[in-house]
Amino acid sequence: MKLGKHMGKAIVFTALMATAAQAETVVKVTLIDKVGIADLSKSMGLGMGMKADMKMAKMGININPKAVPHGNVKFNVTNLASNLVHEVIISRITDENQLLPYDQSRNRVDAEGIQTLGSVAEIDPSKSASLTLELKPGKYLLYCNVAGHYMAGMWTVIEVQ
Amino acid sequence: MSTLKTLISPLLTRRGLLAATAVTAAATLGAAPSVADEAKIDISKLPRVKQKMVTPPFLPEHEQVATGGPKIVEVTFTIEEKRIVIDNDGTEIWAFAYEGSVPGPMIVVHEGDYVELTLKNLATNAMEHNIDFHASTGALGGGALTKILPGEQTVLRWKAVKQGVFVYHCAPGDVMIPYHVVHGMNGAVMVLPRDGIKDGKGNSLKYDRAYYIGEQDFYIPRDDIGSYKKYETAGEDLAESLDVMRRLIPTHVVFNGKAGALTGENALKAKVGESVLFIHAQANRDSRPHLIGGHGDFVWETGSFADVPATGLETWFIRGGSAGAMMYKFRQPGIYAYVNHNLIEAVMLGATAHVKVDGEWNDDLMMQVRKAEPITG
Repeated sequence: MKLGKHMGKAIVFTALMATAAQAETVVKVTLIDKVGIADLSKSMGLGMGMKADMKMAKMGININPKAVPHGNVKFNVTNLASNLVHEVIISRITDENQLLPYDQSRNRVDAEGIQTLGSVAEIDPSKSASLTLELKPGKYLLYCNVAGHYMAGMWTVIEVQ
Repeated sequence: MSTLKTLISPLLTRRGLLAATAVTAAATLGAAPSVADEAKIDISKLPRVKQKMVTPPFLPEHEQVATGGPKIVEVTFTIEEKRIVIDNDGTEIWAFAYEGSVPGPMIVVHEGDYVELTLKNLATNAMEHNIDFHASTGALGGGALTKILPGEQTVLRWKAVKQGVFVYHCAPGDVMIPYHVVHGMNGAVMVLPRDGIKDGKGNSLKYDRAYYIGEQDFYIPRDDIGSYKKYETAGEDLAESLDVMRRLIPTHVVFNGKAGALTGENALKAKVGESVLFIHAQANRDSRPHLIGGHGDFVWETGSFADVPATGLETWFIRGGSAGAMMYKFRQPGIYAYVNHNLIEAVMLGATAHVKVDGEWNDDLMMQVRKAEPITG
């Protein structure tokens, strides 16, 4: 399968992004779905910089650790949702108060308006995939841009030191 | 960047189909005439009792012989994803625990009673959970009607139509089924005959104590130097756990969630002359309980109290995915070991419990005629 297909993509990506045999820091990323019967067709207003109560988040991304040294960072992503396909996009941000450009009609982050450093696409429920990026010091956003998911709280910030 | 995929319709997935089937079935039941309606009327008139769950190896307070007619027994399970220690070396796992314990608590009812379970999935949890009762009838043992995401709760009622001991476990779908079961998400139900258990010749059997041994196999991933890995959040270990599970060799086989959980200070207790009922549950893997220094006087190996119990057994077999029961009257004092008699699992992987029995020694049954001494002659 499906697993093979997605793993294949991720492995190719890893090969492209990783440089030589440098030490890499592993970050475990888990994708959480608590959406239940909530309506995702319109924005839930839980995006970055919106000062929303994130306890209300219906979806989420957990990372461990939350800060890493600069250099090669390997993101091992596991989708813990039982029905939903998710993705993880990684972009550099200035800080957590930054508001992302948002396409209201499609209920997604306007990916044209923010630089994407890498992504792991279409991770099926219960499946894992990985991505390695060489990251400079700064703050980076991990988010899912499936319609409605970002505004349901599906994002987190990692600090690279 | 590759294309973005919108969420797949739940109805197009296998799990979605199962859920849809179950919803249809439930809806039909509500609207159906005759039998279903009669059952409904009866149920509304039945007395309700709340059963307070207790932590294994103990059983909730219960009658061995039922007084009165069928009841609705109300039970609440709160699911908690929590880090637990599973051996004396500090090895950890993120357990998915019904009522916070591994194994989950035992429910005790009588045949014809109804179990009404309120199942809660804490908002702080990361995963969807549900419950499949092997003692129940329909909808994947209730699994299709009890799926709840973190922050949700649901209520399921089922009728106890089969007497015996049975396992229950989480079954959210696909690889999450074994993954949840080997993260401690299982327990047992005892459905007693209304007039109590019998010896197979019509004679009633009464136990003075009852203990519930939940056996659990764990599959803990190791790092490059062979040490067991630790994880900061629930679910982080999914991919690595599945790799270990796929090899079918457990790293731990324990009773009551931890190697040594039922030994030493925590040994089970009994007195000479007392009959003790041991319920042994294994939701995933075969086991072969043996009481070192005693026997199974009466053994319901497959768990059904409707069957004639086997008598005087040395070792009995518990099929993975089932529970069985054994009753033994202790005749000698001392420390007995209750083990899984694959002795590698008992001694090296953790599947040992102790029973500390007080009372008078019986020289007729056994005595040391001569102490150890140099060989003569």
